[in-house]
Amino acid sequence: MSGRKKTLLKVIILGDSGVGKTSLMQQFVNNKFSHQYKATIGADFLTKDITIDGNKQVTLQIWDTAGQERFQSLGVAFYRGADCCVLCYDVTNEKSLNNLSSWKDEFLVQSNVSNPQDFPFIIIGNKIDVDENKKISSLSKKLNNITNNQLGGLNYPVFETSAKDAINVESAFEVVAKMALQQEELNDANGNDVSDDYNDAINIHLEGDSGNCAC
Amino acid sequence: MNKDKSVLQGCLSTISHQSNLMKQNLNDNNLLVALKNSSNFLNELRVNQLSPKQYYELYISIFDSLEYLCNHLAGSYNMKKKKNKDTSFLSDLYELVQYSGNIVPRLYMMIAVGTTFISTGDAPTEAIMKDMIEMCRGVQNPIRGLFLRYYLSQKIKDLLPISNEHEFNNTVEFLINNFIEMNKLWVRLQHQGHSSERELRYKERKELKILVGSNLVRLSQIIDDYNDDHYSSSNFYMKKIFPIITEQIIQCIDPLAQSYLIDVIIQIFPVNFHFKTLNELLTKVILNLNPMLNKSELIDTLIDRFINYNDDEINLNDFEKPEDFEILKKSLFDNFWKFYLSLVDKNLPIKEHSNILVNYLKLSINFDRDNYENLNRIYQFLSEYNFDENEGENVENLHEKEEIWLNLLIIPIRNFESIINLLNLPFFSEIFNKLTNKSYQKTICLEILNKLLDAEDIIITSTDDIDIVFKYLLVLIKESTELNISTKMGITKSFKINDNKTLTNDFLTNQNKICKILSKLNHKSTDFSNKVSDLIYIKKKYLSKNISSIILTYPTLIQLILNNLRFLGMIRKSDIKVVNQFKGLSMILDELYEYHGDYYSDLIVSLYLNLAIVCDSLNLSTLTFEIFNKIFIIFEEKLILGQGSPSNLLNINNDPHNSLNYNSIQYQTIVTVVNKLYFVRNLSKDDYQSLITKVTLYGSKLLKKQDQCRGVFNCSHLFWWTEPSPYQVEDSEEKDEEESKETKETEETKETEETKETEDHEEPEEIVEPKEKYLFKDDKRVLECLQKSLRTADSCIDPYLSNQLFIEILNKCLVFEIYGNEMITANYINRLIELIKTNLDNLVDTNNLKDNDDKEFKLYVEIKSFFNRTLTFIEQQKEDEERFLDIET
Repeated sequence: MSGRKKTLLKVIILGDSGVGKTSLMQQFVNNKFSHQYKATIGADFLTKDITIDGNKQVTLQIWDTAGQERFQSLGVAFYRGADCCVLCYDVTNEKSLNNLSSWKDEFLVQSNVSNPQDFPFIIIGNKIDVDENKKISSLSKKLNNITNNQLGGLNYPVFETSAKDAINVESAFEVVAKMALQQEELNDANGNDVSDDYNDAINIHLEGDSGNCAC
Repeated sequence: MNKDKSVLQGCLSTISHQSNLMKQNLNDNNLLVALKNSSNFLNELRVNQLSPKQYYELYISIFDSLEYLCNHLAGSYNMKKKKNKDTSFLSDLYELVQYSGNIVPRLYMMIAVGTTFISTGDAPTEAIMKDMIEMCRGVQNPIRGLFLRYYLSQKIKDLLPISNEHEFNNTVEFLINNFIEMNKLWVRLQHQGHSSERELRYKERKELKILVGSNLVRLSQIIDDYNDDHYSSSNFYMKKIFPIITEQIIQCIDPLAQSYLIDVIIQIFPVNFHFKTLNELLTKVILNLNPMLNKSELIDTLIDRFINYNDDEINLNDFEKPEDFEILKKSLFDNFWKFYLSLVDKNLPIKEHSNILVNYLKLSINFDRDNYENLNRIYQFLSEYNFDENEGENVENLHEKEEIWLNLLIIPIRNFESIINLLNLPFFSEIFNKLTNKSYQKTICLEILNKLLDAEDIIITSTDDIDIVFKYLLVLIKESTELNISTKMGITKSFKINDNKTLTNDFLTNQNKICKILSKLNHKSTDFSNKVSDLIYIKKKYLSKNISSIILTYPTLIQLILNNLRFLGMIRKSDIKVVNQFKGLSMILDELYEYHGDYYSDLIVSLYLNLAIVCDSLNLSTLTFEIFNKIFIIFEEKLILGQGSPSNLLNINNDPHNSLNYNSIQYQTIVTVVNKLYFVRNLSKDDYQSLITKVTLYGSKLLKKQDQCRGVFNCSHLFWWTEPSPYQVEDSEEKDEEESKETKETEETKETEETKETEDHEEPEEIVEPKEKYLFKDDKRVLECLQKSLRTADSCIDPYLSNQLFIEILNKCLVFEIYGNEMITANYINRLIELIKTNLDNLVDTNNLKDNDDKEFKLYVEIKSFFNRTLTFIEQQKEDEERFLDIET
């Protein structure tokens, strides 16, 4: 085989409706922003090739999801195999901040990751371009409560971004990519790719030489 | 369900297994074997038993595996191209995979290879796209077909060519084609299988809906992305996209498809597109949807979009706004209204009416806050439209209808700025009046009342405004005093007035709120005369309509009128008009007395007293005199005859020894009258003397000895003025405009006390200059009063009470001694002290007071210490009061 294959890293963006998930992804991948709000239907991804640490070429497959449940009618099978999960909130919407932990829980339940304890999440607070008076009051304190809560705290890196003015978006996704790569390497090393779970529960009707693939 | 799960697990492990083999073979450069592996796992997509959600899991898993394949192919293509090797293998592969045995795997492979080929940039894109979309027709099983086409759309979305108009048009056609075919598959699914499975099919279709919607998302994206000189995305949408896709939606007749797809259109196309197509969307599309469909949900979504857009409008730059935005904004409501009028012909369920109209209210409030015409249109329609035409008039319908009315009336009350304008809408009140459910009317009136109370600005500024508002408040004023069961059983709080009437706590609260409205009425205006006539107008037309309300609102009303009249009097002096208004106020008091005199005479007396004091301060001596006489009539009628109920003294433990513990309502009234009368300064001497003599007489005729005694010695003060009246109004140049609270007035007048002129009492007309204060003093009368008190005290049978009263009288004597009454001499006081001493000694002897627990002993100790305190006071006073030197303690 000629040439090294590029590592594919799967990233899921979650958060309440209207926090700017699509805008963040569009800003990162296409450097575009539109004020026109369009709801996201179902889930879809964009890919972007980036270089980490100056030498590692990776392809980020970023999944944008519908914040409105009615547009997620087929379920969330695409969570599987994710390498990193981005939890988004809107700095002007306190409810979206408070919902972060339920998004995290939902992800862990549905994605079936092998290391839920140390699976890489990051938190992005979007829309920092808005007027100060529109922002959640004493935001940093509330955020601190959420991230440092002993019981199910979201002790993850936090970025405050503006998809509109392209503030911090690049650097946030750089961290996302690094964390995802680490997770991917961890999975490779353990050989516990999600697909192996199925090999354990293998059905009799398959050809008997299923063990051979492990070499 | 479990069976399905094991099928799913089986499929997934096959896919995983084959996919691993594929990867291995790819790495080993066994491309053909790898393709065989892919074909094997793709075969799993032919499974039938899975629900759409489960099928989606297979799809995701396969998608990942095919991505690996595609990346590999793209990688080797690029490698070969770099090395200038032959790269025709991709086009060969595209042909090759078409020989695969089964159609589903074949088409997935074709799309995977085809799109990879396109991604290299060296492929005949147009031909391949056409080929792929045509071939997809081969799969007519709905679920498989839908996912296959979804795969096509997902794989090609970043490759869609739009570099020129031709490509763009082809791309749009491609997407629309895919959308139409997917919609057909989706709708057809409903009719598959046995009719008993209809519910299951419906559920499956609901899960599949996002696949169909994804095409519209791509369309929305692509018309945004395309750029050309003469191209405008909104025009393109209006002319090309909108007619075709809505045509499809209307034709499919299927309610699920229609409601979902219209929802998606509303959600994923920008609002400025909707501005342009609104009329068509409403009258040509939504109006023609399946009659079973609830249109109100769509209207709700659409209006929400407009409202959010309007809220964010400042954020939009001009590019993103429609050119004629302002005009479009104005016609927005008209368009919606036109739509509604055509909709109502179609036998709309009543719930739908309500949902739509609530949304219209929201729209109107958001876009055109000051335009009340739209609201009036809605109310006019409500009042004229016969909802029950087709359902027959019955109680349930009526109830439902009125509930809707209620909701539609309340929303604007909460949200509109000017409640007066709202209430003034002719059809608002018409609907209100049509409500047969009185509790709904009451709910609305309460909303109005609360809104008025919350308002910071003055709302009611004219007589017209008063009528507009009080027409509604009248409902609360006239509220039936009949009690419901829960009140009767004591579950909800209630209270009694006039012995026989029980009122609810709610009623009390409401009247209380109405009183607050009265005080907010134009409160910043300085046109006191106008304010007084407004208040009297409200009283005549509204407050007087319910006897129960009179008792609760009149006291506030009277006090407010009085405050205003006081200012008016200060400005205009004894203008005949002012005098007449005072007379008018007195008549309102009479009215209150007429209805409630039997039970609240003490309250009425204090209101009359306030009136009298203000009259006196304005030097309206005739009125003052008359009002006092009226007070005496009340005293005689209601209090001496014992009918006036002690409204707030019911629970006081009557201890005759405690002078602060008023023994009777009659006594209390005398003290109140004395307190006010003491500061009346402008009556002629004759009038004043006649009044104070009368009051002293009443005091001396009270029922109990202790009341008589205390009554009379309190009256003695009326004969000996020691200080100017705090109520006196100065003839100041500055009229204070802001203060309306009586307490403030008092403070103010106190401050200016020093410079105030008081008029000579015997010749009130001749006031020339500020001169020495004249203070009425009649030392002989004072002595008489004290003598009378002493005699009464002496005649008490209870020796403890008798002595208690003696000491109280002693204290009075000291006061008069201080204020220089020559008749109350040191000698007189000494004799009184001597008397008390002897009496107290006798008490100990005759009653053998020793035991500490004895009640009488305690009483004795209390009286003794009271006496001792008095003596200590005298000793202290000797230091600065010469007159006390002769008193022997």
